[in-house]
Amino acid sequence: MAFRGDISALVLGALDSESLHGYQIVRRLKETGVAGRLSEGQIYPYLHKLEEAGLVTAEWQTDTGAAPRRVYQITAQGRKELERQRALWKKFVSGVGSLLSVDAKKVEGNNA
Amino acid sequence: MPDYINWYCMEIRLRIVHHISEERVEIIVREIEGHLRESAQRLMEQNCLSSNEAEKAAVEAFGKPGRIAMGYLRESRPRIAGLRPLWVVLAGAFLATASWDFHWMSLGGYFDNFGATWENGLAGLVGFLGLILFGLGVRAGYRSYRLPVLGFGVAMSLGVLMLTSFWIVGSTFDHQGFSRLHLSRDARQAQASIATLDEFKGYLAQGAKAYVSAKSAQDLPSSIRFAAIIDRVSGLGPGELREQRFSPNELSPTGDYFFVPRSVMAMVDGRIWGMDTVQGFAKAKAEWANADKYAGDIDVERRKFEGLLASADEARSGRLFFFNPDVYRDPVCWTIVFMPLLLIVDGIVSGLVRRRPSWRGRALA
Repeated sequence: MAFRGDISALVLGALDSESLHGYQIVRRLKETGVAGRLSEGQIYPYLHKLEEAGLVTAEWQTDTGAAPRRVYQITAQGRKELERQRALWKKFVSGVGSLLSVDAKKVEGNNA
Repeated sequence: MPDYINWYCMEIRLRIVHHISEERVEIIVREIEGHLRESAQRLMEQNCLSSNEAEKAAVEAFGKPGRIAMGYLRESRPRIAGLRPLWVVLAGAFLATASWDFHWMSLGGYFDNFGATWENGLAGLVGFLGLILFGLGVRAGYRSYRLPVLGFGVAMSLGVLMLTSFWIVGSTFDHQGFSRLHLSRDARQAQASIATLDEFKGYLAQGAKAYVSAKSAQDLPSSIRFAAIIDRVSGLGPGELREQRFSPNELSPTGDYFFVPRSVMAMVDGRIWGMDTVQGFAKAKAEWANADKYAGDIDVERRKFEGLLASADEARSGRLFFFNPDVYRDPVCWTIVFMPLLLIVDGIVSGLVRRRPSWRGRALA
């Protein structure tokens, strides 16, 4: 299942608990399966878009011994946006659940 | 041994270098390179791949360079003269479609010029510029705008339908109508046309009678053969029918040409076609024998004008739309016909944008 339209929200969600560099964010999205058929590289432009919108900040990390990495961190504005997206998602899930859940159908059938 | 990661980074750089600031290009390419090296390292460790195989797998997982570069270009918020490309695309589509519609509508007689004016040349130029603007918008947006174009097509078709139905105050009996902007002028003209048609009908009755009793051209009274009404129902300006088709000799009382009635057509702008000419008295007499039929045409034209005058009264009373398929069919159809052309331009331009840069671009990069 892919939520391509909500990739930005998923990226914010991935950054909610800790700062991550691009490769880690991509791995996390791919491992949870929410990125659907998006290739790894297609997630980066979303990161840059979020950065431009001020929802995340990015800094080069050069002291790890490995190749320099760009580490992303969610901003206060980004958290606000994430909360908004979460509220929308909950509303969507409860709406779909009320129509598709087996229990809801049974209750409806019994009432009839 | 091929260095897949360097090759990949070069491919990305080539595609974005002329469109995004240099500083940003460096960030993007360095970030991608870091990702690919880390990914390759991981693949080597986890899947026991060779360095070469791991780089190749990492590059494949990252995605095709053209698609990835396009993602960066789209997110770079491109602008044309400060406007989002979508607005430029829609403006171009509107200009091109409106010009196209104007051209075909004028050829269809909407503006009573049948395409023979400088406005059509101007419409062609504006339409061409609109298409260029459309193409520039698509190019600047780095994407196909087929969905917005389809939406625009639906909106434009509906808009044209509503506009023509509002603008042309018509009746269901005719493809013509009064311009809402010139209701009084057109209504006055229609009343004058009704008066002319009545006069013409009277003339046809007198002419038919005269031709029945005439044995030769000399028996026809001059008031019938050269009546003043002929000029007003020839569809031309005063005297034009005579000047354009005949020498003075041919139309002299002893000439061999005769005016005869024809199918009657009356336009809102006051022009009426109802007379023609034939050579020879016998032919003219045969034509005048059908005068009753043409008098019937006059009644039909008269009813059309009466219908239009009634519609004009309704418009004055506040009626907004006069949905007449004879009026809106053409512009709506032409609008729909134009949409595939816009989609083709969109497909070509967006396809060109996705293409790999030429060797010159590569060399410059």
